[in-house]
Amino acid sequence: MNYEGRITKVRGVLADNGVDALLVTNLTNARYLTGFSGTNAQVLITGDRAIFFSDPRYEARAAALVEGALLNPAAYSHTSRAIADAIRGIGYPVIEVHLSNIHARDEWRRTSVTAEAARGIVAGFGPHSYVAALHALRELMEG
Amino acid sequence: VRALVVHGPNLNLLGRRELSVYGSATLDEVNALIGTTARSLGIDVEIHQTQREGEIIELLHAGIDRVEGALLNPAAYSHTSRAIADAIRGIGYPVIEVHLSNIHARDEWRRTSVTAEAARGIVAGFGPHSYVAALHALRKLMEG
Repeated sequence: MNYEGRITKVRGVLADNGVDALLVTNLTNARYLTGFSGTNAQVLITGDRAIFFSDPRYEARAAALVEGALLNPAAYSHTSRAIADAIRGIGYPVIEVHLSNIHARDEWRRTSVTAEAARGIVAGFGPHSYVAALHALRELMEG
Repeated sequence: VRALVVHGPNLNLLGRRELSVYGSATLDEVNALIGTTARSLGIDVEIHQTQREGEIIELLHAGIDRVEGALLNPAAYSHTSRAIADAIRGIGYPVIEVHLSNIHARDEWRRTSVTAEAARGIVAGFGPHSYVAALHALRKLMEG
């Protein structure tokens, strides 16, 4: 399947209609665009990037598709050495994202074992943590 | 809108010390990147660097009623300075803590930041681009 061609076609439609980005959340549509056959997939298509979102179960399979990831491990941040090992093993950059400022909450939330393995962390800006992290990810993927 | 950028101790040595941790960009180059990004976001930035804990506090105080937000890289003071944390709590405008390196992936003593506890949030680990991502977050905080 020519997934790149399908994504390029979507980009054409976006450009024709003056739309900056398309977030695909329907699983069938996401599969059509990427070939990914897991049970959790979203794709964000912009003029020059296609960003794939899933969950940690699919890290190994997603590695074949993506060049970088944003990961919000939520409470697992503070306990999961397994997710940390996965981040170290997958070979593409991962940025840890938190909605809240983990440094300003319970003592046990201040240490993140997954952030130890990630390239960096963005925390405290609500949904805009993801926006800021995408800017950083873009630089990491270029560099 | 106006924002402060305050670089803490030793950041004047950027591009000269521990290149594997902090990268090869000099502080001037980092400041140029901050300036370009800020302009594109419609933010007027005023940039300072100091080695002194007390001067960081004075710079934050001087921003009251003059700036709408700040990026602060307290460097090693992050891990010790309750005085800077108190200043951040007192000034009434949002402060984002910024680090070039991923403080969670280095020495144990670097993993806790007492200043981040007072800041609105933290961006760490992306070299000079930590400031770029933080400016995008700051812009949203200043709008909100």
